[in-house]
Amino acid sequence: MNGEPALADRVLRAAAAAAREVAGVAYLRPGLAEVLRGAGGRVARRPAGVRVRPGRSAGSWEVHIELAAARGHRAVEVTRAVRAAVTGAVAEVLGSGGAVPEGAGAARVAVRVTVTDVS
Amino acid sequence: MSGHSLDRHDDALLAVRAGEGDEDAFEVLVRRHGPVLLRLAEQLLGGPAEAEDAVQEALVSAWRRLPEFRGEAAFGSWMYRIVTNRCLNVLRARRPLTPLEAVAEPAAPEPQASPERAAETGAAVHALRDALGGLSPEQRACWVLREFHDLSYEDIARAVGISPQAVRGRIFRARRALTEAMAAWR
Amino acid sequence: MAVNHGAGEEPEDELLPCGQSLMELWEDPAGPRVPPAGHPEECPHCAAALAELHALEEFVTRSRASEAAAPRRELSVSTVMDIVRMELRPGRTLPLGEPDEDAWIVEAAAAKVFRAAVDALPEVTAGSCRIAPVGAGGRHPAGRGPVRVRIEVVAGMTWTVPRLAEAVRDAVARAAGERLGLEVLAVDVVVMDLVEPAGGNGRTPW
Repeated sequence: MNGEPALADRVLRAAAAAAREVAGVAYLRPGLAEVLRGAGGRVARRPAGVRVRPGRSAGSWEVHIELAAARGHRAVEVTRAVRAAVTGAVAEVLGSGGAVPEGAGAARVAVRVTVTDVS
Repeated sequence: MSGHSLDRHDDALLAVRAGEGDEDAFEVLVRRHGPVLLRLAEQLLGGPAEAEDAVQEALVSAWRRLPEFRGEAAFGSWMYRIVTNRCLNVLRARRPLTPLEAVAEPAAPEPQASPERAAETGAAVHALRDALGGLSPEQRACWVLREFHDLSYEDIARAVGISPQAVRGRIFRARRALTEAMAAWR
Repeated sequence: MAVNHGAGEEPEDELLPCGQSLMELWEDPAGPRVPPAGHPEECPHCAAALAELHALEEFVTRSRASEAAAPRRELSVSTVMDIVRMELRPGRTLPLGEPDEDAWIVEAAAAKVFRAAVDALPEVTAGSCRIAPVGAGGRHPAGRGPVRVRIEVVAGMTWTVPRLAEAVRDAVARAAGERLGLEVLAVDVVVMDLVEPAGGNGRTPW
C-alpha cells in the first residue's frame, strides 16, 4: 500500500507530460469524470487522457493514453512516437524510484494509445 | 475549426454525420438553426433567459437523440418539435390551472416585459405580446408557429404533437382571443 | 362575444349572423368561399369579421418587423458545444498499425478523416460513414485486423456512378494509408443521389 499510490501518480504525470510533448499530439482527451472534477474545482485535476494501473506481473505498469492527433500528422506515427516517449519517461520514473531493478523499467511498461479525435 | 467547410452541406447530411458522432457537423447545425429556435422560444416563453435555457437544453437533447434520428423529418422541423415541446412544458408548469384540473397549486406570475423593451418596440406590439400571455400554451404555440414562423398546419401538428384538425381549432381560438384583446388598439 | 361552450376545451366554430362560418372565413381570407345559400355578395358581417382579422395581421406584421429590426440575440453556441463535446459518441474502436501494436483509433475520428477526404472531391459530399473490423478472430489478435468502410455520398450530376465510386474508394484508401495508418480491406460506396449543383450554400428551408 505504502508508496504505490504515490508511484502511480508519478507514473501518470510522467506519462502525461511525455505524451503532451510529442509532435502531432493536439491534446490529451479529457474524460467526462475528469472534466466534471475540473469543473467542481475542488479536487486537484488529474492529467487528462491518461490512465495507469499496475500490470499483471509484479512491478509492471499499463498505461493508456487517449489523444487527439493534429491534422497533418499520420495518426499511427503519432501513436508510435507517443508510445516511445511514454515508455521512456515511465521507465525513468521506475528506474529512479527503486521499485524495480535498474534497467528493467522499459520492459515493464505497456502503453496502449487510442486516437479519439483528429483535429 | 473544420466546421467552416461544412457550411455548404445540407441539413440532412449534417444530421447523419452528427448522429455518428461528428461534433463539427452538429456545431454547424447549431449555428444555422440556433437563432430562429431562440426566437421561437422567446415568442413562446416571453423571456430571453428562459428561452436561452430551453433552446440549449433542446439542442443537447437533440445531440443525444440524433443516433435515432433517421431523417423521417427535416432536421429543422425536428428541432422545432423539440423546442416547442420544451417550451410547452415550461408554460404548462407556470400556467394558472383551469377549473377542471384545479388541485390548487400557486401558479407563477406572468413575466412582465421590461420597460426598455416596451419603449423600444412600441405599445401595440407590446400589447400583442401581453395578449399572447392570455392564451393556453397550445394555442400560443400553434399561433406563433403559424404567424411568426409560417409553418403549415401539418408541420405545426407535428411540432405540437396534436392533429392538424386540433391545430386548426387552436389557431382559430387564438385569433379569436387576440382580436378581442387587441380591439382597443384598432 | 365568443360563444361559451362550457367545459369543452376547444369550442367549435362560430357562425356570423349571416350564417358564414367564422373559422372558415378566417382560415383562408383570400381564397374562394362557398357562402351559405342566399348569402349576399357584399356581406357586411363578413367584411367586419375580415377587418378584425386584418387588423390582427397588421399587428403581427409590425411585431415581426420590430423583431427583425431588434438586435439579434445570439445563442451561446459554446455552452451547447461544451456539453456536446463531453458526450462524444466515439463508436467502435479500430486497430491502427501492425497486428502486434497496441494502437487504436475510434470510429468517429476515422470517419471524420474519410468524410473530409471525400468532401474534398469536387461536388461530392459524404454522409454516413461506418467502419468495422472485417470478421473476428482468425490470424489477428482480438479486435485487430483490417476494416471495412461503408460510406454514403451525394454528388453533382457531372459524376457517373462508377467514376464516383472509384474516386471515393481512392480518396478513402489514400486517407486511410497516408493520414491514419488504418488497413482498409474494402470500401463500400453508397451513392445516395446525384443532384444539380446547388446554387449558393445549399441551405434548405425547413
